[in-house]
Amino acid sequence: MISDPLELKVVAVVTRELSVPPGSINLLSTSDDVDRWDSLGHLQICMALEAEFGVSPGLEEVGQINSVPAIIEYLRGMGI
Amino acid sequence: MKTPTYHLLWLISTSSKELVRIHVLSNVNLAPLVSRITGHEVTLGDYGDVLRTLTDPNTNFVAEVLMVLLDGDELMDSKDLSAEIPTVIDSFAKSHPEMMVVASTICPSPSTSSTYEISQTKDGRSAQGRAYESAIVEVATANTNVIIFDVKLVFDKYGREKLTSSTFWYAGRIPYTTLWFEECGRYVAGLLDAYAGRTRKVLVCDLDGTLWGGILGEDGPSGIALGEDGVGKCYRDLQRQIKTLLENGVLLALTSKNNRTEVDDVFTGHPMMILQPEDFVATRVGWGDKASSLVAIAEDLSLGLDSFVFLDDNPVERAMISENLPTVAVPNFPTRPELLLKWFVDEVAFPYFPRVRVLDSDRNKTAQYQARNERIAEAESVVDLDAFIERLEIQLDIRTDDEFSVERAAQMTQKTNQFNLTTKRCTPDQIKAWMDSNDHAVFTLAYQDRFGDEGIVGLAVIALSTADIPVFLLSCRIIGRKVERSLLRCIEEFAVQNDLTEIKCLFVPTEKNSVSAEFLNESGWVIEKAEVAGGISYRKDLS
Repeated sequence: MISDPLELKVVAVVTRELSVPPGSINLLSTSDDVDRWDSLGHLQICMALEAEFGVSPGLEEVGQINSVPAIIEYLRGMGI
Repeated sequence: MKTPTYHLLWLISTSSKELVRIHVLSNVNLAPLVSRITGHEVTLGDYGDVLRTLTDPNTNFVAEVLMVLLDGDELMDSKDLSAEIPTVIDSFAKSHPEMMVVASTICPSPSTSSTYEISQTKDGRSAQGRAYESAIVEVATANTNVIIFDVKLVFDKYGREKLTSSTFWYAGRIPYTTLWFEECGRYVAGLLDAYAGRTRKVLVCDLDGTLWGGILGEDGPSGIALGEDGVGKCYRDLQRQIKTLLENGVLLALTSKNNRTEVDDVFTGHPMMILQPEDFVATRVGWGDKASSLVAIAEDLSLGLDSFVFLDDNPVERAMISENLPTVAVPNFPTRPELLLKWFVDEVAFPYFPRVRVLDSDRNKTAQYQARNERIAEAESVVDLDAFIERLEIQLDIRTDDEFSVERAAQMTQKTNQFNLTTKRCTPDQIKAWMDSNDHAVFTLAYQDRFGDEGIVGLAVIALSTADIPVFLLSCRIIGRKVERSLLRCIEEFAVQNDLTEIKCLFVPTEKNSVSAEFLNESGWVIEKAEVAGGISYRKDLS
């Protein structure tokens, strides 16, 4: 069970943006092990971060935050 | 804006109508747009494949609508393409007359260099953009199956800063932000709804606080806000927009809690009214619940309630409709009049009454429907009014001889015309004298419900020595919620505690207060004398 609100929200955003069934994304998911997390799916996730958390990852960060843990770490680093 | 219940029913009600299949071509990556054009089937061509798709005779995509949605900056970087596209769209439209072609305008950034002159010259981006736009407009004028999607609407609304993103452009050739995709998705979905005939047909309007500012029953025809200045202009501008919808073939109807004669006076006598009685296919002015009025109007017009949009500034009336008639669309209403115009265009006209084009046959819709018979104003109630009132969570605060309410009490006697037994006007001194007197008691009623606090809206006075009630009134804002019964009950209890066995009142009929007579007849009063000084005397037995 995920109880941290930020973790919950990130998992929900990734699930929604990739249009995958609920439960298929967890706290360890990475772009390598989710089929639909391709380059386009990844861009949609990053765009959603802007709308959901008010952060705008830069071009280089977009390349690095390609897993749920990396996204959470990035958001925490931004003070969220 | 929409309640989940409403949304679900709306989807069900339109599910019988065909989905529109749209194929989108662009010179940039518009993948995020696909999921945002809701309610239709969207496919996306490979980006950069615009010319080939439009010119290849073996192009095989299956769609009723083809959309060419181009990024201005990319297009301007390729002068050949920008010159060629309008011609190619023209040929495609001519060879595919069964298909609707939507061509976007473009909105290139003004300049990419540090000189000031470039955007002014004929080679500058703005000039190029204008040339492209006029070419596209010419194509749309020449082909009835080509229409324009003006992407500048979106840029004008939010500004380039919020709509474009360098990050996603360099990361994946997506030049826009989520906001751009959401807004464009909404516009395109609206366009496809219109194409599929998924538009509402009837706009039902309230009057007080909706088509004009203020309360007719209290402020009088000359006191309502409607004009060419300030707050009055906000309402007049709204009426103009509604008139435009009417001219586009939307039917208008009126539901108002007012006296019919007063409303007629405004329509015939107020010089600033844009809308006229003949603009409405149905008019229900009276004191019954509005849900029942809407059902009656729908029956009269032989239209489903899912064709209706209901405009009312009063949140209780809106809840009355959305809870009882969930297929009626009930947009929220702005609390500030200066927002009316923009709100109406963005939240009412576009979402509920989209039109691809206005045809001549749209224009005489109102006349067609007016030929039908008018029914009597008061409809039989179709809703469980008591259950609705219970859900309002009404809280009344009825106080006796509350000195803080003297001014408000006097003001109500001056302004209240409809639910007012005697329309006796009182000064603050008179109210204060009653409060101070041992023989009189003054009851003030404050009202709130889950939608808000209305403040003091009811007043009653009793004289113990004569058992007479010289004042009994209720603001028209809360008529129809059975609050008057609670006020009466308080007076009755007070009278019994003071050993009275009956109470009396005088009803002085005016042109406006017939709703008060209905109350007397429904709540156990009997006529004592039908003709006494200027009115009818009533008594109620308390024993």
